[in-house]
Formats: sequence, structure tokens, C-alpha cells
Amino acid sequence: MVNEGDVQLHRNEAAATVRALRQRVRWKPGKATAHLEKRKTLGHLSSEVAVEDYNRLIGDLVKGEGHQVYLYCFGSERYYAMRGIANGVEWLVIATRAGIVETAFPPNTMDDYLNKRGFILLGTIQEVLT
Amino acid sequence: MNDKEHLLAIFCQSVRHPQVSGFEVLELLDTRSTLARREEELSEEQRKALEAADEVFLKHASQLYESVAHVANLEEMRKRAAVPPSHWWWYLEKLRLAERVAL
Repeated sequence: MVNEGDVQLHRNEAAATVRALRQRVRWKPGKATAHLEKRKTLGHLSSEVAVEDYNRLIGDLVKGEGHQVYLYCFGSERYYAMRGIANGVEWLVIATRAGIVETAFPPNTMDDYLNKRGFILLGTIQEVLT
Repeated sequence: MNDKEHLLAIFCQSVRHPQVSGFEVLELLDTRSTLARREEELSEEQRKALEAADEVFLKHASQLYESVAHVANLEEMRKRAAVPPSHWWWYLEKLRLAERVAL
């Protein structure tokens, strides 16, 4: 549960996460390749795509000013998720508040996925950055 | 490829990547539930493919659980998604214990 009074705190954290991702897409050690291989296997990305291309896609998603930002809480952990369209497909980028990518994938049914997990809409990227 | 075939293909491939992210394991569990609701529409060949993928899922139960436990409480996720008890794949914490007993 998120208190109204915490909304600004979360927006500030979300803004810091977006800025960090815009500066550089970072993964946990060794995770980028594993994620990329899964994206290729599932046909989300073509077989010739490199980690740099995957990172560029993530970078583009967090640059979309109109893309929506969500908060997800688990215990003391907070994650921020950016939802946007790239190449005609709706993607979800989930990152820690330190700006480390947890995952970036296109859920089968985005609204259903976010609602069932308890993601909280904070606003558009533009809104959280101002 | 129709929607049903697409979901089956996604499930069959996703079970082979248990350690990528708990957020994606939750998507995997959703996909399996969708397939369960459409099980009567599956052909014999598709049912066999689903059974084979379920076997892989069970082999990776511990890893799948570890991935989810990092980002979510499964019991809470089951409540939120109104998961019926018959959807055994949502009970990873129990499946991994069963796996340990079997070993």
C-alpha cells in the first residue's frame, strides 16, 4: 500500500531511475546476455540483434515522454516500470530504483499483467520528470 | 500462428529460461493458466507439447521459485490473480519441496 504522502517520493525516485537509464542501460552482471537470448528465442527480437541493440531499445523506451511509469513494491524493495511501444510492440522495462534493469519484455496482455501484480501508475515520464 | 499456438510456443520456450527474472516467471504462470482455460481447444500434438513443457517446468521448479521469490510473494500473487487450486503451477513453493523429497 502506498500513502498519498509518499507519491512525491516515488515520483522523485522514478525520475532518478529514468535519468539513470537514459544515461546508461545497466544490467546485473551477466544478465544482459541471458535476457537477450530469451528475447530471441521467444521471437521478441531478431536473431542478429546484439546486447547494444537491446539496450538501445530500452533507452528509446525510457526516452518516450508520453510513456507511462509505474511503481511496484515488494517488501522494502521498490521497482519502477516504464511502459511504451517500440517497433509496434508494447514493452515493459522494469528497473530497480538504482537504475539497474530487472527485465525488459513485452507482456502478452499488458493491462492484465500490471493489474494482477499491483503496479501503481505514477504518470507519464514527462510528468515524473517535472 | 494463431493466438493459442503462439501462447503454447511462448510457454514451451519460456520454461527453458527459469533464471531470467521473477517478473517474467509471473508472466509464464499467467500464460500456463491461459492455456489451461483453453485446454479443450488443444490438438493431441499440442497437448503432448504442453505435457513436455510441464515436465521441463517441474524440473526447473526450484529455480523458478527462486526467481519469483526475489520479486514477489507467490501467495499474494495467487490471491491477486484469483488463481484456482487446480492451477498447480502457481504453487512453486510446494513443488520445489516435492522436488527435494523426490531427490
